[in-house]
Amino acid sequence: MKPIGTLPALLRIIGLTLRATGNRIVVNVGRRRARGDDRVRVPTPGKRRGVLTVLGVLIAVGATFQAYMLWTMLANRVVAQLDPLVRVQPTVHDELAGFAPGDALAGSPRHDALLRAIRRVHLGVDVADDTDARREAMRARFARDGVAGFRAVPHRPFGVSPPAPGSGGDFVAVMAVVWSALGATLLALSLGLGRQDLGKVEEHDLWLATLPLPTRALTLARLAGFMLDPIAWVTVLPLATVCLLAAGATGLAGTAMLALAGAAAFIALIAAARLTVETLLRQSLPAAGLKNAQALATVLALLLMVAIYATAFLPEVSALAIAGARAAPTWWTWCAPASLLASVDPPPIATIGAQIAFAAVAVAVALAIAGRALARGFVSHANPYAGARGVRGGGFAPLGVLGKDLLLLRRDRNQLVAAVMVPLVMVGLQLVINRDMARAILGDFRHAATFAFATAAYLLMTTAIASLAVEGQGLWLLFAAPQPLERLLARKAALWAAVAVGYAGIALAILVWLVPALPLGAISDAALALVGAALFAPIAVGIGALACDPMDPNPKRRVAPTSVYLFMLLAMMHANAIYAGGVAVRLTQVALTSLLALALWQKLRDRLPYLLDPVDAPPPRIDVADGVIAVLAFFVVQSLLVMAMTLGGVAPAPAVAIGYACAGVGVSVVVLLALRHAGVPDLLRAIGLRRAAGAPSRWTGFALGIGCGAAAAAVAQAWLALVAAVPALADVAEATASVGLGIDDPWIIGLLVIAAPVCEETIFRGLLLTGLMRMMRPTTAVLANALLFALVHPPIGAPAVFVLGLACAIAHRRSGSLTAPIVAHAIYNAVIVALA
Amino acid sequence: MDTSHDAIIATDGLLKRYGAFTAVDGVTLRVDRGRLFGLLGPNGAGKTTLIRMLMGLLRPSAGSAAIAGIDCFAGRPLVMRHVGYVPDDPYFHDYLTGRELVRFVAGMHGLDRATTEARATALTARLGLADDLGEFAVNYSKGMKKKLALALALMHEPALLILDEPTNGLDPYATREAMDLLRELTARGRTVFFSTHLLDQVERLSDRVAIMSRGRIAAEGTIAELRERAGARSLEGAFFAATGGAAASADAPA
Repeated sequence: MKPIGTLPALLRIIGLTLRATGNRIVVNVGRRRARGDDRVRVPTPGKRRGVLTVLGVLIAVGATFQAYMLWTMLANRVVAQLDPLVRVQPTVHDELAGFAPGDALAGSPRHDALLRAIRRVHLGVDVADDTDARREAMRARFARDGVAGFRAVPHRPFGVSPPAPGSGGDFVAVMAVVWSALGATLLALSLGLGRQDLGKVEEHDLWLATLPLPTRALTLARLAGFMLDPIAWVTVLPLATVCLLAAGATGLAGTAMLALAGAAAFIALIAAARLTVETLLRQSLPAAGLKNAQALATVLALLLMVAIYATAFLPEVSALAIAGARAAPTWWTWCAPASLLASVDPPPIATIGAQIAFAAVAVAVALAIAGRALARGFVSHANPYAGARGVRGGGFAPLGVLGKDLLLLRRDRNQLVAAVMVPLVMVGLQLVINRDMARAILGDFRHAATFAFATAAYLLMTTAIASLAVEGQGLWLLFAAPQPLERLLARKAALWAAVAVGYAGIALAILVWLVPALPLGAISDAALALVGAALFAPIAVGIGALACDPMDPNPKRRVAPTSVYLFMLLAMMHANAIYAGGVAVRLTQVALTSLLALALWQKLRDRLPYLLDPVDAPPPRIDVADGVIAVLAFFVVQSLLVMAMTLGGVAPAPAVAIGYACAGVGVSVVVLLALRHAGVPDLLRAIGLRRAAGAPSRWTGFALGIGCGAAAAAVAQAWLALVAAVPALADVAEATASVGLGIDDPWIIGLLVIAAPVCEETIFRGLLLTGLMRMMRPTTAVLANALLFALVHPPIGAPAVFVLGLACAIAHRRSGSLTAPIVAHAIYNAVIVALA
Repeated sequence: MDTSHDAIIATDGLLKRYGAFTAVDGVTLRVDRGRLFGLLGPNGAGKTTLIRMLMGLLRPSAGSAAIAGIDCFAGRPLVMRHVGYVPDDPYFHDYLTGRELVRFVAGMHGLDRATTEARATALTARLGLADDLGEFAVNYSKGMKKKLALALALMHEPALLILDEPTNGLDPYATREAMDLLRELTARGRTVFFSTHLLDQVERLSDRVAIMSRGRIAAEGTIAELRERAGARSLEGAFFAATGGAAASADAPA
């Protein structure tokens, strides 16, 4: 029997992986079952993870775009710093040509006009940092050289400007530094981050090794697997594109092809380096040493990432990179051949050829080393935890689920460094090295609050998100415990909330100590940061637990990257609220964040009992999440409609009325259809659109609605009287209430009095209140519902709307139908319209 | 037979479907307290799926399962107070020692420190694990892992012990020891419910047997009853008769 050759073996291994991936996608996304066996376990619709797949693609696209922006910024900054002239837009250049150098001197009659032109220079070009110092430098430059000191740079379609003539070589040298830094970052990331254990050999590899395959095929398959690293593609492809554009590439298709080829060659190079380093580490270090090496790689990766960001954002750092590139020997460029993509000659095709050759050599070296190593076995130490006999666990406090987690964290050094040390290192680094950042933080307390919150969010992202995933296949121990899983997770969330608040608190304390005099608003900033740190712990646990697959034998795949990005996105939204100012906006943000945490937690509680069931999902019910989605969709659609109508020439007041009504109808219909599609049993009765058996009669509901509506309207009238009487309130009302007055068109009044109540009640009472009732006491649910209802209305009317919300919620609970709150809401709106 | 026994496990028309494939097909079973009950069946007969439903890990597609009168799926946390569980292939966290795992599980059951130490000492001495408690559990051999899982399952002195292939991976000494322990437990009034495909083990150990085949209970009773009903001289004969013969058992779904 002839043994199989390297290439056929490799193709078979790759084919197997593709088949498995394909089957997973078909089962999770499509309605068909995987080909062949009719006994395949087909998950119920609730168990499919198609949404996560779609979300993952969207996030990948977003991340690629973000990386592109970062590289563009970096390249443009370097190009501008390398240029002996100041780069401005052609129009500004023309304008400057009309001035004489003497105009730049103080006292000249056209001095002010020139300064204005220079100011516009600033906003128009890629030499960022709108500081007085730089503007002064430009004025001095103009005084010395006149317009000859400035270069007109036409706007390029993709935002990357080419280096000035003569500075191309330096640019390539700087790009070599950047490419090297990116390569080192990716290498360190792949070794360090993630919950992988370098000391452990994956079952899949062990199994393949038992087959009579050539070693080379095994190593190549591993290499191919490394090349699929999404982080690498998302960062490398944009950098290759930016380099090509800087070198003057124009054709879209050609550039894309060249960028793909260049990126692939670079990623192959990194994969080869990873394989080599990994093999050497495994061969030479014992388990504990491997963990230390991983921890080191984690810190290195994060430091490198900070360095890359700093190069893009801070002129001092990019100047440092330029100095370094100039000092580096010329052969350095050849160590990162991808940088040649940025060079005008040799042409890109030749560059890519060189790159591929370079990558091929690297792969060959990696194969040789790995092959020699494999001949001696997978790892030098058979058991990653060998030699641990006699570990002392004594003297330990009662080892509950938290004690266990902390113990695991303490023993897994890589995780410990990534989770606990890195935030501290970052805090220190920002304050010590990055003076600009420190100055900014001290100058504006909102930066300080954001910084404190970001530290906490990072901690949660590395720890709390994996709360369920860390259990891995040891999950059966928790399932055998006489406690609901959600209670154990809640305990973990509480622990991480405490640690996150502690981190944010320490960061704030340091900054408060450094700032001489604090403004009063700082208290609210700090509070928002601390509340955010606490609220995002359950959000992190919830997102992580909902998206994770704790039983995946590969620890890297247990935490879905999607959940990490989603968490980052939500955290950024909260950080934005710190800058938004305004107490109302902040309260709304806190309310929405809390609601999000509640909604996630409810989904989690519903799903956890089904965690180990491969096919079944919880029966569809109305969730808080459904209500939240409906409310958000309502506001987005309504504001879009109002904007479109205002642009189309409709007066603001009717535009708002029509927008509210149309958005309400559209969103309620779509959400109800979606819920029906999901199979919520007896949907209309569940939200109260149809009378439930045993509920009070329709007429009782009607009477209740009239009573509640009249009461709420009376309160609103009293509130309006109060607003008119108190001058401070009246001013606010004057400023905000211009919309909504002057309505006399009968059918708009009809919309306000009939259509708006029907839709808003369906969304707020039918969906949101029903969802809330499932997870809190009725009184709390009614109060929370009314509070949210008030928060999403204009602040000046909030107290009255809060009372209306209470009245409608009570009417809904008492009558068990939507008739009562709709009647109440209609009466209220009618009274308000009549008063207006 | 002692008629004062009431059922600790009671299932009624229990069914679990995986897509088009029915793994457990209408199982109605009653296990009385104090029994050593063996669930016998070829590979793929649905034994593990049945046990997972009893553990509340899977939701029955139809029918019901109750332990100590509590629904297994809806009341899982409550059920677990009465149940100790030993999976076929117990997996432990990478960085926890045997002793830490014992304390962790005892803590989850709300045992105080003194009780924990007393029970842990007695159990691990009995199972021959006492010297290895300071070692990370991932370093244990398969047999040691099984013993540790057994010790963990018995920490809260449950009324019912559920074991999936209990002696799988144990050497002859450990097998005998484990069987002695199980017999001793039933003698003290506890119930043991275990699955296996090893006929001799059931024959030596259990006082009542159910034979599962293709998701159904093909036969149930004492060993003598089963032999008699099948007209076979050995349990093996009864097994083949119930599961459809040697040829049928070979092509049972995997």
